[in-house]
Amino acid sequence: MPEAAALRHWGGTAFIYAATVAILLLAWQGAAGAVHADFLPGPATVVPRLLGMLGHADVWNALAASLRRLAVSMALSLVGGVSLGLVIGRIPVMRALIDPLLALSYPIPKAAVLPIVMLWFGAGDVSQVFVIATTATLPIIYHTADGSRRLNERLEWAAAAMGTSPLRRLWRVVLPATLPEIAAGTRTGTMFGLIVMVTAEMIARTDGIGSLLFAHFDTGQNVSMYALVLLLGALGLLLDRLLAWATRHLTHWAIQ
Amino acid sequence: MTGELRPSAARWLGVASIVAVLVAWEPACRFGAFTPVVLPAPSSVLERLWFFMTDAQLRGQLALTLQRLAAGLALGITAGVVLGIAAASFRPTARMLEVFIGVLAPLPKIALYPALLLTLGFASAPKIALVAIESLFPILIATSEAVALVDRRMLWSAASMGTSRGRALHRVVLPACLPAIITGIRIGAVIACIVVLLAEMVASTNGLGYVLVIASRNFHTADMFVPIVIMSLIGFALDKLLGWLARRTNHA
Repeated sequence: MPEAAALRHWGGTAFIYAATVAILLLAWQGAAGAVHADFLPGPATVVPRLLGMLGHADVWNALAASLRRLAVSMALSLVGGVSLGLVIGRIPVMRALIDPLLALSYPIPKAAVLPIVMLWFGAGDVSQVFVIATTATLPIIYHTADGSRRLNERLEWAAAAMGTSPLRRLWRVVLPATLPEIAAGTRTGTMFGLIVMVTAEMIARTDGIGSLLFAHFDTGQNVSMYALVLLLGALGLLLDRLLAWATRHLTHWAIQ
Repeated sequence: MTGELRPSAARWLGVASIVAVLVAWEPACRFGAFTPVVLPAPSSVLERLWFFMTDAQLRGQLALTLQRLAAGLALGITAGVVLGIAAASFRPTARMLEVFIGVLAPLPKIALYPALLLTLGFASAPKIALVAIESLFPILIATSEAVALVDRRMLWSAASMGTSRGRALHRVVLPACLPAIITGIRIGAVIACIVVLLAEMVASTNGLGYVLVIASRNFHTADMFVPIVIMSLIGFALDKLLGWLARRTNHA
């Protein structure tokens, strides 16, 4: 795409996004004006409050605690999910053994298991990372297994014919060829992880944005509570766009 | 190395692995590797599950949760399918819907739950609303994508034979999109099963989530497994049922 056209395309997308956000904010403000009650403040009061809250350390500490948990969970999920996914995708016996267990674990409400996990590891980071990571690992396993299974066998034959060892083939052929699927699984997994992160923080009530949000709810600070909802929405949107961008740049060579 | 197994062999291996997990779990608890508070044996969970099912009061809690699940899912499906078809049928609204989904889908909807509690009270309404909102997005996304992919030539031939727009929607668009919509509902249904339990745990007055929280406060670990096992089984059954239905309706 020529530069000018690319710029126009970007401008168009940005405009539509801005218009949609504006419509959503207007609808919210309209609803708040119609109800006119403490429990539903409009964005005209919530947005300034959010900006004010960003000047204090509380929100940043909560954000740091949440993001640290999410990052650790995603690192564990990526390592565990890709390894297990490759094992399932490349070795039929392992697929037959593990697939039914995964299918059974898919509908388990992972965040609801948190109270049980808290009996094992306490209410802190370990328990919360455990439920976030188990949730986020599943889509990564599925996508990796699926991608590595559908790999074009001729790629591997060619590498083998040129004397590449099996381990090296895994690293140099199978893994890169599966990368688009791994990226897709990571994106889904991260969004699942974000949801479970907030839920786990609401249940464990130690620290993090979810815990702070409920603390405001308990003390009746509704405007601050809505400000954190807005912050979480912005965080989700930012993460989603970031992962979409990273996926495009890492796998632009793959046929979509 | 990647030669496929025979399907029957694969099935037997699958059953064997599930049995192996249960067989290893049971004696590990029976012979004291884990105390019952840390990890109860599968047999004691099963025993509690049986007790739960024979107790009228606890069955009432299950019924309450199922009502909330059904109401929320029904709302989510209706809103998702109607909004998806309506918005995706026209180009300007289709583009707007796409951005609307792009902005709102990444928001962890559970964060809205305190706001729903404030606006809708502490009874069933906020739980139903949360289930509806959570199940809405996968259904909305699947529906709008499916409508966008309907072969335009089918619509042209229907129009050239004098079919009205409304009738074409009913006779062409809906049947063509049905498998994809059902797949969206399948994802939404599993999420709904999870969310209804979480909603009842966070603001617990009654329902299965409340049963879980009470068991957890009293360190009755086997009882904590019961609501989780029940919801997992319901989610599993819905997933299988809708998967079967999606395959049945797919004539492509």
